[in-house]
Amino acid sequence: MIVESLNNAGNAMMTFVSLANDKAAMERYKDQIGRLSLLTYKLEQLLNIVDSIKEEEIATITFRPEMRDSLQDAIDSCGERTKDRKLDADTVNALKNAVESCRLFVENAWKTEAMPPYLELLNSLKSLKSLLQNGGEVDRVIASIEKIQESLPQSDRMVKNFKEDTIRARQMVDDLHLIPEAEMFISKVRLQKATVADLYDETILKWIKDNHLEKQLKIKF
Amino acid sequence: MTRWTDMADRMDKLVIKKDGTATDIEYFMATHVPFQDLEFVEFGETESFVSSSNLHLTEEEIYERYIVNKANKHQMLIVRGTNGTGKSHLICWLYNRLTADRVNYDDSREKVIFLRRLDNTIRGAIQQMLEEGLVQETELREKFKKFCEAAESQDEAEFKITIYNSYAMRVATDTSGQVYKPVMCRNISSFMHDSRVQDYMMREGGPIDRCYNRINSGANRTGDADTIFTEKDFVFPAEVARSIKRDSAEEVRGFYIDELRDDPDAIAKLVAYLNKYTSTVMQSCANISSENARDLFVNLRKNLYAQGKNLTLFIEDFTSLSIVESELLTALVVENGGKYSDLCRVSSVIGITDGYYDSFRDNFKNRVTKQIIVKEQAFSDERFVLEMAARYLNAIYCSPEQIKSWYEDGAYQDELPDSGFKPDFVWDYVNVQGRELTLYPFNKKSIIGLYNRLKNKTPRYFLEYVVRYFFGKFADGMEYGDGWEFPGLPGFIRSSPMDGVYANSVEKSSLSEKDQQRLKILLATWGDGTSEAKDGNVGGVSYAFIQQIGLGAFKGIGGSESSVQRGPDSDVISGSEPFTRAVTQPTVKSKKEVKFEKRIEDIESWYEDKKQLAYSADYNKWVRDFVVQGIPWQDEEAPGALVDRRYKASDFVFIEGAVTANREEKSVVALKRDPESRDIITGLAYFNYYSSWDFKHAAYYQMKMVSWLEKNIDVFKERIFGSYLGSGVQPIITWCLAVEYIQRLIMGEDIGKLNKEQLLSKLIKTEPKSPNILHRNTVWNDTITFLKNSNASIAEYIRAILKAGSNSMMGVIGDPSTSGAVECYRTNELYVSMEHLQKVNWDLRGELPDKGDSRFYMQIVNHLLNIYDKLAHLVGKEKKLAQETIDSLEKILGEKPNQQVLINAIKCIRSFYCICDTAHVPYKTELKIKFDIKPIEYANRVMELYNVLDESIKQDDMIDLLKAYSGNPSGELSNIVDDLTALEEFAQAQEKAHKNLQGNIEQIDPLLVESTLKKLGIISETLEKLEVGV
Repeated sequence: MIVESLNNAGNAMMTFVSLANDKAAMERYKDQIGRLSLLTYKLEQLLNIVDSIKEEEIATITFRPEMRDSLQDAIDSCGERTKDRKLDADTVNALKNAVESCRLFVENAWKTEAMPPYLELLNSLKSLKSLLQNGGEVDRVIASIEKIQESLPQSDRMVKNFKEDTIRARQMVDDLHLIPEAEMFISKVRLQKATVADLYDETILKWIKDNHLEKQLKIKF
Repeated sequence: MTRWTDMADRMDKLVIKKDGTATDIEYFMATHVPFQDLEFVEFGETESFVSSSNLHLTEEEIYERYIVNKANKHQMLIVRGTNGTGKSHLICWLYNRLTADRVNYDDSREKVIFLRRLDNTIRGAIQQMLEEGLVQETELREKFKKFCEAAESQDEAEFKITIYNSYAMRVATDTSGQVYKPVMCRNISSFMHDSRVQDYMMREGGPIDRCYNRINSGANRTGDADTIFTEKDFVFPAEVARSIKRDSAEEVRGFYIDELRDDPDAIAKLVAYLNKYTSTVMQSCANISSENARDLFVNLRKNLYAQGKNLTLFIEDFTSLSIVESELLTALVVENGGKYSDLCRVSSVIGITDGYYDSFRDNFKNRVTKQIIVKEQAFSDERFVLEMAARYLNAIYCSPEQIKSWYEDGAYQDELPDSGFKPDFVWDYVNVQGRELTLYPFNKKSIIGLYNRLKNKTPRYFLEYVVRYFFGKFADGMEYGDGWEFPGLPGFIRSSPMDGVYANSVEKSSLSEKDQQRLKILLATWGDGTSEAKDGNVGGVSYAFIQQIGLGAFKGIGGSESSVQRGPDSDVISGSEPFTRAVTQPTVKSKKEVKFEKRIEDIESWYEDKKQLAYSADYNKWVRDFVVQGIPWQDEEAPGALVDRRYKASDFVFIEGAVTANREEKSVVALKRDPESRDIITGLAYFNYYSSWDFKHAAYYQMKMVSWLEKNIDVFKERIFGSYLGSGVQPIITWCLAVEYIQRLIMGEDIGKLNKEQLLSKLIKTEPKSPNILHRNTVWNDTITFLKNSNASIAEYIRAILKAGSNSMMGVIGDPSTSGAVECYRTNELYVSMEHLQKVNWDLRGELPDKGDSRFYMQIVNHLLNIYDKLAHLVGKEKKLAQETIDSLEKILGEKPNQQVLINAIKCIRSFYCICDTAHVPYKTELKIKFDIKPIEYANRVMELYNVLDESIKQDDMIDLLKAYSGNPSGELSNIVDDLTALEEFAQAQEKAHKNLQGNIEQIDPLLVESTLKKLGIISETLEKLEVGV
């Protein structure tokens, strides 16, 4: 019965065609979902870092409104298309661009606004390092701060760690109870600008004797 | 009155002897016909033969100028010519002319010697030399005598060995080195002594046999016999050659293989070398030396000189003197005077054949003074022949005393004796020297006719085979008056046919068959070939003569006693005028004329002598043309074109005794060896020659032929058409139409719906086309193959018959230029056959004959029966296939087909193919395009086929079934079913395949989507809360 056979075959073929067409879109959708998922994770992390920087009172980074709007639009668009299974590369790319802009903004803010107050502390720590008793701990703190110095922390945890390291560095410096003249003198030594004349200052000389630093003095011509 | 038998004896003993030169001188002179045109060549070179400036003299002029020899010059005259041309006769006459010349011949001053060719042998020549007194030396005379006796008495085998050994000895002792080096000579001698070589050389007809005959036996010599050894003698038969190579001594084998075999030049050299010794070999056989022989003639000349005489030597045949050949020549060529002043003057006349003269050594040729060339033209003109016949007959009729007396009185020609014999009625004569010499019992026509029919036209043959033969028969008849044989023709004279009209009149006479034959020869040879009686003659021959030879019972056509009686004063063949025709070349006959005469002779000898008919192919054609064109076939209700076809077969005519005779039982025309057949063929020969009926006796032949044709017309029709020729339905046409119609239906031609005119036109004017389809029905294919194969033979023949048989002949049957050129059909016959066929629904099985007397027609019948047999089988199987096809269609459609079902199906098919395109499913285009047809058209076609097959299932008539199946509906519908089946199978396969594919498609992880959406929501909320600043 040929008619029946033809009809059956036609139905089977149409079903397959339909399925085959879905499969292609699904593949594309699946890819973009993956990308979107990654982007949302990065954005979430960035927002967390910003939030953490603020919480740790390291600095307050404030987005510009258009940046937030851009992000919001991209997020909304991706959300809608994800729901419609029509998420495509362009939509995901829009979010990606928005996220990237935010990241660059945050990195810049980190370098220019958050880090400078901590650089003096870092230098002091480096100058007084030889005066401190727990040199290993001092090196770790110095390395940790130097690492963060150039690039944005990659997570809110790293922000917290940074904060803790700076607190520790302050504490180490404070524990030396340095008088201001000594602090001045140490700064000169670190900059190799201290001279014998600076030793005429009694206060300085006394601070040296009190802290048994006489034998460490060297003269250089 | 002298008895006829005496005259016949006189002829045999005195007048015409076998060897002309041996005739008594009186008769020789009395019968001699002067040579009128002898070519005269200066000097001895043969090249001068061709000169046009050569003198042409009569024999008398030659005699006066050279034989009389008044200037007394030394001269050597050669008389040349081929055998039988009259050299001997001329020399003999010159000799007798001289010796009888009382004015110029003085025997006291001239010694005349005539060496004749006695028995054609050396012995005869030597015998003559002895008798002429040439051999004067006693010792030599004794040797010659001994030789003659030895040659006569010695055993033949012994003498031959003597000859052979003599040749071998000459070679072995040749140390001259002139031809071969001595070593080689010894090898040749050894070679000759080899038993195998010797046996071959001594064979009958071999060189030694020839040499022996030359010396002794007197056999006639011609051509090659002039030389002893020939090249052929050294081309040994294969078995002899093998034997020499296998068994001979080394030097023999070496000579044969290395020096002789396969080298024509070496053989020619050896032949010439051996022949050089012939003369000395013969001398040795006679036990004489070369010196002896030379001295023979030198001494003769010396003696004659001493006696104050000169020598005139006539040698009839120089070849017979080969024993002393070179010595004789040496003695003759030496001119007297000077150093040879003791020798007499020699004037020699030597007869020699051309072949022998060519072998003369050049130094002898240089000494030849003159050559007299005796050619055939010197004696072959009619005047010469008639005069010769008249002289010989006169000599026969004359008493010996008359001849002798005339000779003794000086043998003057103007006093030639006249027998005075004349028949009682007017008869042909020849005027010779003022005398009317009768030719009785010959006449001029018979003399010339018989001479011309001789194979060798020479005087000797003429006298022997014409005058002597016929006169002998005539004399015998005249003497005894019964048992006539005159003028029966001997086998060596070709017969001259008598005109068939008149031959018929002779054959109807009351004469015995033998006498009829004599009369026909007489009328054909003596008379004018007719048998008309007119003015005392019958067929131009005096009735009195006819009566005289015992044939008086025949009075000729229109003859009566009174008319015959008036004969003698007729001038028809009075022969009273002197026959003085100038020497002329024989009349040159045209090729056509010669051909015609040969055929007339052929017919005559076929009938008269019961010989085979040589030119039967010509006669067959003539008779066939006459029969085919002479009968108004179409008026006789016979298809002219069929006659034309039969005409083209090679076995139309049978003639009894023909060289290439067809089989009588298969031929349409059969001619027995009887007078009627002779007349038919002769009449046609005349008609063919003249290309019209405008010739003498045409009316007679026409009458004979027409009456023969009328008499036999039914026989011819019967033999061409058998018994299948009727005035109503022409069975042959009907059968052929049936074959053609059925054949075309089997071939699948769409002729079922044609009307009569269209169908006839189709069947006759078009060729059946071989189908290029292969039926599923193997029986059908086999039948087509059978028909195709038959095309080369019977089927094509039938078709041609159908076309030709119904075609009215336009023009002449048997004439390719007109016959059948115009298509004009005998439609009435065709319609009648067609109606009959339609009436019996093209099934002739019930009316075909089981057997017939015409192989030709039975072939057609058998072929038709064969087709019917195959057809029954064919339609039976096709019917089964039709049912199967119907079942298959219903099965695939799932119901009985109707138009709507089929339209739906085709729509569904189209839709299916669209889906295939959409789904990118590849399919066979060739299958798809089969359904690219309007659904309604498709449905209609399928329904049409289905209905044809469905209807056929209910039918039983074989022809109706063939008509139904002719267009191969079963095949076409079966193909449609096959297509549908193939499509269904394809669809089923696609269904299965696509269902499998559906299961293989990958699904997306919903959790991932969900989590992503959730995350987006969180971020969105975060962003909403995010503080922003300028």
